[in-house]
Amino acid sequence: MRALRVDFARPARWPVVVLWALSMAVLAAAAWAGVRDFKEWRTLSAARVQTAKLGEQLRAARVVQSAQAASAAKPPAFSLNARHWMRMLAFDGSGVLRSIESVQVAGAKVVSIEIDSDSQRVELEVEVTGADVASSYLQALNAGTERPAWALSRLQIQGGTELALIHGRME
Amino acid sequence: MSSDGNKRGAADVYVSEGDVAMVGLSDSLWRHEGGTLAAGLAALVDRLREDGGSRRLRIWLGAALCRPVRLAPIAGARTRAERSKLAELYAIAHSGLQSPCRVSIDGAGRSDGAVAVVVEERVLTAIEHALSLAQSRAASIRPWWAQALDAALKSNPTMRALGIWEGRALTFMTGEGRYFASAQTLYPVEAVESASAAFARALVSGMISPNDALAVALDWSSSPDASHGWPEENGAVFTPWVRRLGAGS
Repeated sequence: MRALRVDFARPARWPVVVLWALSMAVLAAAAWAGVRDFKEWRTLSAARVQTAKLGEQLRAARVVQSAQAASAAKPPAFSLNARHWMRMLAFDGSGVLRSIESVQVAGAKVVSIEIDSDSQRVELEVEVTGADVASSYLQALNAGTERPAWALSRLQIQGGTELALIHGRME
Repeated sequence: MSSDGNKRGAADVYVSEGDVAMVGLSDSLWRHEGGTLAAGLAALVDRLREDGGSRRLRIWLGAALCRPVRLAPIAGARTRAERSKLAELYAIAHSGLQSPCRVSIDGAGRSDGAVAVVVEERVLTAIEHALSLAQSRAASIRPWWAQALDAALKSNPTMRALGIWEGRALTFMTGEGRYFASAQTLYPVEAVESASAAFARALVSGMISPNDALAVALDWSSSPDASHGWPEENGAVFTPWVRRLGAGS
């Protein structure tokens, strides 16, 4: 004979209850985590939108700032004219003309005078009978100055006449 | 002297037809005798309520309510389910109990003798209902004779016959090794003398020497004394109220 293992009792309910409770706990934890994540996501989204807005404002401010800086760096249109006029006013054109008129050399005749007051340069075309006359005329122009203001740029023969091109820099 | 149930922290309750007994944690025996099963369970509920609090109870069924049936080989069944169903029907028919019943089959399909244990559904329902009323729970619901068989085999593994008289029912099982030659319950067997005589006849018909047999009775009316039962270390329940019957090892 052998021992007979018989038991008519219903299985204990506690494992089912514990499993049920565990499942509920897991579900509750998942729901809690989901709600928390959703709230965080919403907060982050709001922060992202705010950041984007601030970035947009910053960009706009930079554009304005850059425009202002650019406009500040660019000289006003009237400033050139003013400088030009200042130079023109400061340029002693009549003095230059007087010094040219005061030079009288035989065989040399001023054909044209071109004065650029902006760059303070003067260009003379002098009809000369020869190179020595041109040289004499140049020496006469520079007479009395330590640093020669006039210089012979070119000497050319044009149509049977010799032309001396003389440049002067007036400071 | 304490019972095994006390050691495990659960009270042991014996339930039979018209006889309900409980050995509590304090070794004290409470007993309700006479009346129907319903009356006995109602008295148990009252007793448990007096004790107060929920409890885990080990329910031991008497052979009047829960009986073994040695199954004959099932022929003609094509499937295992069919064989199992036929075995259940055979067990219920030979148990003397009324359908619907719950059947547990030990050793189905084995060559060393399958034994079915049958209990009426109304008994299990009544017990579970009573325990729920007392806010208690059944840790186990087992036949006490099966527990007695277990304890007896631990004492003497070569034992060939065991007779158990309790609750006006005599259950006897015979066999050798792990094989069951017979297993059945006679009910009602009113007197201990009748039980002894019936067991002696079973020994003769099985050609079993009394030296290879053991017969015991569960006698609640006697004073608790383990000297006539079997050693407590065998895990037997209600040991102090177990008495040997007639000659045996």
